[in-house]
Amino acid sequence: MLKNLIANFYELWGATFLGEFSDQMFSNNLYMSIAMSSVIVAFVITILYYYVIDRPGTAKLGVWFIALLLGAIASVLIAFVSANNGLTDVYASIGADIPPGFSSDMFLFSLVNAMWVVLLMIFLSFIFKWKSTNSSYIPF
Amino acid sequence: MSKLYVFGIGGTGARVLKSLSFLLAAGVKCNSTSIVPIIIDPDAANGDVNKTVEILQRYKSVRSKLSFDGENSNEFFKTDIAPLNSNFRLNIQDSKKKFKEFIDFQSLDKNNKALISLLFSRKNLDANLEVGFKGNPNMGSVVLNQFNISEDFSDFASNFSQGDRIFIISSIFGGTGAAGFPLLLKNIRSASPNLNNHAILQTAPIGAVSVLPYFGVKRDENSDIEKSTFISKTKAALRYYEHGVNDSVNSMYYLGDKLVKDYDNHEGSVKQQNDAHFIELASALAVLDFANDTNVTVNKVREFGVENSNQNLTFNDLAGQTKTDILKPLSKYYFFHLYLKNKLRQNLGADFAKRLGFKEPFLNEDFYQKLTRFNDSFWEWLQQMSTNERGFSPFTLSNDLDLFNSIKGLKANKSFMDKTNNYERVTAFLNKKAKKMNTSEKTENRFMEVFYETTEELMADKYRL
Repeated sequence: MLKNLIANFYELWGATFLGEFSDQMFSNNLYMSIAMSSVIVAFVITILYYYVIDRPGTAKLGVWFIALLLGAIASVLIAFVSANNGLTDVYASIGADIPPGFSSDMFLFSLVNAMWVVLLMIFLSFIFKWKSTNSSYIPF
Repeated sequence: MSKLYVFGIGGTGARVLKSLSFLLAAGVKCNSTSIVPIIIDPDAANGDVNKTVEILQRYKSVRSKLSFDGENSNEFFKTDIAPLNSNFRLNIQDSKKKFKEFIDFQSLDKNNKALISLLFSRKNLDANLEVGFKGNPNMGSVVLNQFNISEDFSDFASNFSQGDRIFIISSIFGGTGAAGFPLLLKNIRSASPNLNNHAILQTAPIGAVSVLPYFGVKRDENSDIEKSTFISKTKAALRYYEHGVNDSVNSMYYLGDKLVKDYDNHEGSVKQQNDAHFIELASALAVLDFANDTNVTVNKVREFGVENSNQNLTFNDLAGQTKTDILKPLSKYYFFHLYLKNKLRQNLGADFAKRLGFKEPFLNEDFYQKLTRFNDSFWEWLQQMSTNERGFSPFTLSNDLDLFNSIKGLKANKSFMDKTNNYERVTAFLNKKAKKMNTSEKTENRFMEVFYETTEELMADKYRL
């Protein structure tokens, strides 16, 4: 159930279904581990921004956008590296290499992952900002 | 509800009242619920007096927007300054003529004219009373001896009630103060039965500060004011006070200094605007000492001393009690002023400003405009005291970023855990305090409250005070 739901998120209910790549990611349960790591990254960066780094100098929309950007970059890296490593292992076990077309698929998948992380961080911002000392009006 | 009626006589009296208003704005302890300043100076255009009146009016205006109902901890502007009339002055009748016209010299017979000529020089007789007594107490003692027919004095008597106190500020080495003080005292202690509350006035607790020479004036052949006469006038007055004054006041404070700076010699009027001086601050502390004294029934004579007699005093040079009384309030107000001057406008997007509703229009309102003008005078007062002789220079008076090292002689605590410093730390504390504040209060109350609370925490955090 959860596995299907996460797959739908990444494949945008078919809009970004990438054929063989998506099938391999789903059947080898790679979506789940990447999703978990990405959620942790979103939580960590948002908490860091609102409660740890939190100071008047960082309570600015520009700095908040930088935090989102960091989350996006981190999630792109996590998705790309995890997918690449996972699929390399899968194909190595049958004595084959990753198909050459997978690189662009991996990149597109990483961008979708980044999009969800950014959306999650925006959502978390509205939850965490209320208790922040200096940033409770960020993003607004 | 006890009031303290503070009579400021002459230029020194006005300047001490100015210092007093800054101490009260900073929240220095005052047990009287209300101060009623009454300036006595026939010199209508006196620069010092007019400046003081402006400052008192701003204080009153700022305070009128604040409430002190027990829910607020703010002590900035806590003590009410309530004027007797709109210009804070006790108006003296017939003071806009020449001295000889005032005493009706022309109508005197030959013998009386001879006597008057013995007591008053030709210059005295021709002097215009509009610019004061130019250092001549012999003239002042005649002109000022009409308090009891003054309408303002009558109003003062009518408003005076049991439990109220009186304090009189004067200098002993000039004209107006030296003459006015004993006369005022006489008019209170032997208040006319025609005055309301005359019996209460006659027994009212009275304190007084008589300021001995603490500045000189440059030599000017065209001026009637001569520095060399200050000491002899002081000696003569002290001899008189010993028998005619000391016994009539409950608490008598004497203040003076050996170090003196020569000011430009102005006989009076708009040009008489002496720089603020530490002695005036010490005199204002005498007012507060009297206000806070729980036993004013016995006669006391008090002096003021400092711990180290440096040319430029800092907080550490003050005696223990004085330091305790003023270090924290003045420092808090100093930080408050610096933040308003240098950072508030650019931090209107900060958490505390948004939460408490401090927006651009608030900064253009009368309350904030009057407050900043009052604070500019506070800054000028500190600057003038720091460059005077003897100087009082407790702050660096610098606008740079090293905010917490701006109290001379006090080292600010630093911790490796501190995420913020300087103005950003103030903003962080403002944000923290604003979260706990009651946002249903009036904006003006919220504004003063958050800054009072924040500066309180800063003093504890940075200086363990």
